[in-house]
Amino acid sequence: MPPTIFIVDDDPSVRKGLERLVRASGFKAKTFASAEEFLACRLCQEPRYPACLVLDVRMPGISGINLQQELAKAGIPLPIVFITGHGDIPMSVQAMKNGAVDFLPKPFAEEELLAAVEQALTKAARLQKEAVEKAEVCRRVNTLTPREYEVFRWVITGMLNKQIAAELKVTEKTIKVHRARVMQKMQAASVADLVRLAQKIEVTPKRSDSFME
Amino acid sequence: MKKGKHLSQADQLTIDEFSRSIPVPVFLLDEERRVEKMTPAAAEIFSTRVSAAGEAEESPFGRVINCIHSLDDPRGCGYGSFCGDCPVRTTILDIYKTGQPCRQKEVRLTIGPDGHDCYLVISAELLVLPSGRKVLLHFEDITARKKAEEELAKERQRLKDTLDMLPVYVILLKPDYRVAFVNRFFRGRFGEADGRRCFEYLFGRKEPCTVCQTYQVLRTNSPHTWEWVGPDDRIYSVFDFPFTDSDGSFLILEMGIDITEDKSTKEKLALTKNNLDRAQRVAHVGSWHLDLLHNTLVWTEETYRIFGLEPGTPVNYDQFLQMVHPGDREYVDRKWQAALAGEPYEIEHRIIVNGQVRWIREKAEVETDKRGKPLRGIGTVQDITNYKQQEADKIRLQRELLHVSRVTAMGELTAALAHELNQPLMAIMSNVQAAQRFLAPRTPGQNPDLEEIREILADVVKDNKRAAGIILRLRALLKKTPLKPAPLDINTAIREILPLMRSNAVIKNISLNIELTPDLPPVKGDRVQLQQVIVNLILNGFEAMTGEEEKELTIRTTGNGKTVTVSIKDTGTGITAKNPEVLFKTFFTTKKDGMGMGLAVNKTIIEAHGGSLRAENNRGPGATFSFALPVYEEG
Repeated sequence: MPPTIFIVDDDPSVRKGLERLVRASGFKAKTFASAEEFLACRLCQEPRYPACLVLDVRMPGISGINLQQELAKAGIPLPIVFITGHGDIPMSVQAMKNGAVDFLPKPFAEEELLAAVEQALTKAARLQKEAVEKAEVCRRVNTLTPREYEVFRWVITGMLNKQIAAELKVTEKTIKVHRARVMQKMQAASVADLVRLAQKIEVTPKRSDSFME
Repeated sequence: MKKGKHLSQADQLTIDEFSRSIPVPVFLLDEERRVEKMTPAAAEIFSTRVSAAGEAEESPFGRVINCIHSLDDPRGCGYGSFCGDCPVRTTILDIYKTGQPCRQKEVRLTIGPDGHDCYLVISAELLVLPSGRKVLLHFEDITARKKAEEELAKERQRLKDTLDMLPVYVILLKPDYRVAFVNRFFRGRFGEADGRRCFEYLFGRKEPCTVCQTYQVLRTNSPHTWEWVGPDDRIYSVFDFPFTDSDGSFLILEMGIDITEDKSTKEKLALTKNNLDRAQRVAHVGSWHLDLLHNTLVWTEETYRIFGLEPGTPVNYDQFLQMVHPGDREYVDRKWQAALAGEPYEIEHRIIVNGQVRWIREKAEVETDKRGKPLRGIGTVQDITNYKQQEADKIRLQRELLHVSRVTAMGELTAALAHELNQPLMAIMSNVQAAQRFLAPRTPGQNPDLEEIREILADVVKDNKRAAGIILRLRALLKKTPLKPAPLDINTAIREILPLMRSNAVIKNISLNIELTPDLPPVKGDRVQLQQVIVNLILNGFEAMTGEEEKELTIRTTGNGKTVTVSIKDTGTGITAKNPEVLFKTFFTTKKDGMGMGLAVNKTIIEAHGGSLRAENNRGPGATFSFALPVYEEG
């Protein structure tokens, strides 16, 4: 299945030209006249195949930059190649900061676009892999009981069972049982492994008031 | 002789001889007043008198002289009024009585049936001769002389009366400033001289007046004319003539005419003319008067000034025509001929003054006689060179302003234009490269999709045209084009600029509503200029919405059959000026970096199209700018 390139541009000529170029380069192309039209397509936002977005910065209605923000907010890992008819430095900086793959001023040659698209697809593959991993970790975390989740967060601080027991005002033995369950459910071989998984889904270590003293 | 010597015979003869040779009438009378001797001249008178009395001639000797006219008639001549007292008789009687001689006594007698006057000069003397006392009587008839004298006196009186009757003063002056004669007019005005010198009695001065020009006549010995202000403060036109009196002495005859009223009338006239000249000079308006019967043309000073000629230079219509610019000559002449035929004459044309072109506005009326024959033309000439210059400057300035404004607008539009131009370029680039890829397929033996290639090429052509169109519009906007009114569909004009505006709206995150009423009648206008106005108004609207939450701009066209209205409504800050009119003033601006020319230029353009530009605040946020243009009509 060839990767899909989503093209969002309000200019029909440009849209058609880009669609042809992308298609001629062996990709699958799907075009949209506005950000709204793209957002209306739910499927496009969770592609099961490698895909990227070629997005015009300035459009009536929701602009390219706003769409980028919307997608980021929704956690959709779709790499974006911005194209613009008017080179605007502050806007391009903003776009790149927000994770854009490239920022191409119109008119650009196919090499530039294809290079950016390749880069975006690579990133897309990586993001997809990460997303799959993250989803798996999330699935595992979701099997934890609230107590186990709490212990999980204490464990990744690097504290000993005895210390955690003191914090939670339970016996050390209880903590030992919970830790074993967490390690099992999270399929972690070591505490270091557990910390890596926690980082992946951005689970923060529990803060200890006494620890701060 | 008193001793009465005895004369010899010879002496007697000698005396007779002597007396006969005396050419005057002399009588020798005895005490009885009888004639003893007389000279031939005396005899002549005697015989005349006698014959005059109609009596036979007889010897006068021995006759008593009672009356010269009737020498021997004791009753007198009978013709005189006082014969009894005849002065001749009385005189002789007196001499005998007193012995005193009578010398040159002038007497008057009224004689003859017609009672005419007769004048005599009598001289008589007592002679005591041996023969007794005698009277030697001599008389001279001076009637003729007397008559002549009387005539002269009468003549003089008549002259004097004439001079007195004159409504001017006449004075005869002597070289010593004394007055020889004044007429009644002079006396009436200045009184009697009474022997005083003129400066004494007229001005009470002790020395001759310095301003007086009368006495220079004595030096030049030729007449002189001048103006004199008399002691009565009136102005006299004075004529002085050198005058030699009958006795050979020099005099000055002076005549003075009171011209005070005349003078003030003239002064008033001059003042009126002066005021007219000044008014004309200030107004740059001259006037003229053409007498068609005599072909004489009279110009005022300002008219001369306008035509660059010395005032008073003789001019006529042909000369005037020669000064008209060659390009206008035929036109002016045609209009003037038409004016003579009754057409109104109000024209503007050029003239050449000292090689320079000037513009004048002429207006004239032609007066005709009862039969419609033109008699005279009266007209005005106004120098409108400066006005024309200003008009030309204004038009040029307006054009420049339009250009500046366009260029300014172009600056604001650069972003939009770049974007606009990049779109077709992008499309072309993509299409061509896609086509290249389609033509070089990866799998050998796979034929390219020629239908697709054809479509691509068609799109490339379309986009290329689109790019060229943008550049053409850009050029048109930048070009200094004079007004080219033509039937124009305002909706089309707006649609042409919409792509630019859309791009600009997108950049500024403004939603653009287009509400064009379809099938509007065409308006009369210059497409580029009207587009310029619309672009300006839209950009102004965009500007007004900077920083606003709600950014919405509506472009609307409506028509009512007579006019087509274009309105541009924004949701910006609205108009804060109390009087919206001030917005349209040149250089009025609320923008930090605005030139303040946009709205003034817009107004100028719209008014040049016969429309009006209005600005008003909306009920909601923002303002609406609108203009109405008259619908295009044939002709």
